[in-house]
Amino acid sequence: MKHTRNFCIVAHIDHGKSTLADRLLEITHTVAPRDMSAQLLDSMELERERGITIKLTPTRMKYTYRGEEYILNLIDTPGHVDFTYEVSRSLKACEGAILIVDATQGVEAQTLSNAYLALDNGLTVIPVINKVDLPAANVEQVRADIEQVIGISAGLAPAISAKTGLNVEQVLEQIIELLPAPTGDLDAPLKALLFDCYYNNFLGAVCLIRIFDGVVKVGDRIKMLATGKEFEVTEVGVFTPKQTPIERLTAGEVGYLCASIKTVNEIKIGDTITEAARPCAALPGYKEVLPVVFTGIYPVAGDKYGELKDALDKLKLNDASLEFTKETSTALGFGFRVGFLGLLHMEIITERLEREFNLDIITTAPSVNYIVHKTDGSVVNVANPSNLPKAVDIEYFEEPIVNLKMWTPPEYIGPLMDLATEKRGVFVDMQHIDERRTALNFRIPLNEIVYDFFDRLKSCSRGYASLDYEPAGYARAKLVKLDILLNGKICDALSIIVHEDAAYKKGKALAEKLKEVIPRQMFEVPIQAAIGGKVIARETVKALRKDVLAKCYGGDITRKMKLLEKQKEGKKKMRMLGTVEVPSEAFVEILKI
Amino acid sequence: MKPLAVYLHLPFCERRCGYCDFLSCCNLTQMDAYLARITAEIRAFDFSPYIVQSIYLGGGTPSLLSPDQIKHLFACLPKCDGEITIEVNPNSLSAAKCDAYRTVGINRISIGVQSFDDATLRNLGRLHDVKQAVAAINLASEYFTNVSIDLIKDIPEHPLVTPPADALTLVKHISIYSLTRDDQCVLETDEPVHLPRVFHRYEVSNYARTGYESRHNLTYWTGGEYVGFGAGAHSLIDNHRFHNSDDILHYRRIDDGVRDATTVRQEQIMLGLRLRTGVALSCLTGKENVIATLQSHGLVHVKGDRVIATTKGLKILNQLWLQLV
Repeated sequence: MKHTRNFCIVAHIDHGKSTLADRLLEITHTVAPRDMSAQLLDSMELERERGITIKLTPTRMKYTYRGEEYILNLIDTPGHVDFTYEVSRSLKACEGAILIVDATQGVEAQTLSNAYLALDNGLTVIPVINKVDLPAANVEQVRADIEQVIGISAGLAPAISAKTGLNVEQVLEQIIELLPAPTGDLDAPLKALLFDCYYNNFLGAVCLIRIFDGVVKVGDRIKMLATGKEFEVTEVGVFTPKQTPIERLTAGEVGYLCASIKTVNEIKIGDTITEAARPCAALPGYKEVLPVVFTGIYPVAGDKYGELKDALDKLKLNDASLEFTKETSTALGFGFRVGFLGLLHMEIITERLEREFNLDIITTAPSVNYIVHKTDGSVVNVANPSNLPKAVDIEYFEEPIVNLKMWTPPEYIGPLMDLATEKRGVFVDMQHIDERRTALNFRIPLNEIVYDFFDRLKSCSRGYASLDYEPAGYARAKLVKLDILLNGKICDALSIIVHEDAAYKKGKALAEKLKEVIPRQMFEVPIQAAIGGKVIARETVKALRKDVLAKCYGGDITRKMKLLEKQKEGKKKMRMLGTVEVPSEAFVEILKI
Repeated sequence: MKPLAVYLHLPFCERRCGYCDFLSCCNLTQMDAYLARITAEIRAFDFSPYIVQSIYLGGGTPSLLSPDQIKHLFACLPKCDGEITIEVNPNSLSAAKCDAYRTVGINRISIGVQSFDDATLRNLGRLHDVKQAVAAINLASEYFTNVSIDLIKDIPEHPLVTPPADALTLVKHISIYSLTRDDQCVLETDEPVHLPRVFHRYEVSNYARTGYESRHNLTYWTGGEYVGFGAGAHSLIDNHRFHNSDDILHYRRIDDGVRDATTVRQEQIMLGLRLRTGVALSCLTGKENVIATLQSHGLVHVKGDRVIATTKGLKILNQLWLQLV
């Protein structure tokens, strides 16, 4: 055990976590150079494309230091604010964390929050200054920053370039020298933390675990403390970074186990795994994460409902924060109301549904959970605008409020104040953290920040500002339901709940956007925005004037047919709402208003 | 004996036109080698089960062939009592060639006029002017009754110019194609076509005096059998599709397989909608409600057992097809 180190890498998004992980794998010869590809641990297609890490990936490396061989378990973590819960999960499995700070950008919001997260979890934090090869690097300033802003000593922080490999060996040395070895009792009953999980079609659920006490091997009878389910272990192993079966995992180690776990309900991320015959006391587990943003997700083709359900079940398996319930829409048929942690989370899930499960889906406008007080004195919770009682039956609304904290360099305070005020935010106070950083505190309705707030914040601060928020109860608000009519019929999937004062502007913007995204059809399509039967905006999609293949001779009919087939494929992405064909992107586009 | 249409592709051109998507080749030195190959290909084909109803020499610019080359080519073609067409360019037509065409049995001439406006012709990169085009129509008419012309419409900033009356009296058939690229068939411009009523629109892009509809093209459009010789040419025989590859001197026959019932039906609907005779209702079983909706919007009408696109419907044929398959 004294030759094992468990650590994770935390950083602000884009400060070089995955690149450093690549170098560590190379230096420790975990991956042969010929198998090396950039950002190796970001195996998900989506992760590579966006250059971000979404899922945790544990890897076992071997490194010889002063003649002794060490086992280093690295857990890669995501950097974006929406995925903070994933970071906190991996922290529970480690004794130490490497905190990367970009030498050109210094300490950023997520640097700070991840560093505190690690310190709060009792981890030893090793600061590392990355990207020192860039001309704009200012190592000494960043060193001072780390000490002043975060409050940890940075005098010894290696100044590295994860890209070129410069000084990366120093990081490995510090991991061994400075991080504590895990402790644990080999003879005690098994006590393992289930910190993540993914689904494999052949093995069932693959559980990512950190063992605190005891041993686990194939054939052991294990018990999940929270769900109470028992299983027989069919495989244990480590990631090198390929999934590699080994004989046993012992206290202090990180690895995986499989136990023919077929359904989602049988396990819970954060649970404690123990021996069925000799259970241990439960580990503290995780803070439950509550979804704050809800949208309807529907298959474009109605007969894919079953496939959508299976896909959501599988995603749920390694995304504890994903919640969904069945829902029906007149316009879209059967689907689900899905709860997310934020807009990026929502985008990631919808993209994964489309790519990994090859599903064509429609996402409706995001909503939050409203409390509706009716005139008859009863109270209902509404997260889906189409479930809203009739306007005449509503006494008043209460909407969720959050305490919003925005960190920003002082020059962007003005624009951010304007933004938050425009979004109905109420200024609370302002804290000067240092000369480069100010925190603005607002109370703001949650539904104002679920649409485009994050994008607006980034664009009015040239990317420097960041935000965090926490629920702060409910407050009474003047809200109305805004309906969209296509060809004279209300399309429930396009209805949204908005503040009375913004309704007119929003209705007009929605109608204009829909006019842009709905393609011309055989007939003219009127688009109307209405509040309680009163039309407030109208646009028209003109009828198609021409859509015909020019010539059809020379006998090459197959080619013409292929062109028509292509059009037909495009049409499959369309959804019939009454007599109007609406592309599924339309639903995405209107979210951006 | 089964009826058969025969197509010969002669890809050679003096200059490539940007709007043309047929296979063409500007290296005229390859012409003799190509003719040797295509005649060998024709000789190898077994015409015995067929009665050849039409022959069509398309291109490219078939009028680049000399009178001797034309005679040589026809020497290996089977006998045909029906329509025999050659496509010609106004600037490469001559009396000697017309004479040779008539000698080998050609009875229909299709002139690539493209426009009756000099600026438009320059814009299209054509090598002739309006004067030459009118002269070609006059010359062709001295040898042939059945003269057809090709025109292009919907050219940005170049409105369609209707043929001058004296030329029009000599013409029996007019094809008017919209300038589109296949990948952007949805274009906003759709110029109206104004022709004397004697020209009826028997296909979306084709107008003819009664009795002068193109027999050969109708074979394609009504699902008849045809064989294509030469690079890039297509064939449909016994419900089986073939095509030759694009390699000018070394083209090979590629088997595209037998059409399944769905494909046959989809093609029938696509081609039928383009024709004045329409699609048989029997091809559209189960689509009665769609037909009724389209009818109520004035996009199709039903005549006897045929569903026929209206003038309004002809503009958005792709949409009609998408609804009806």
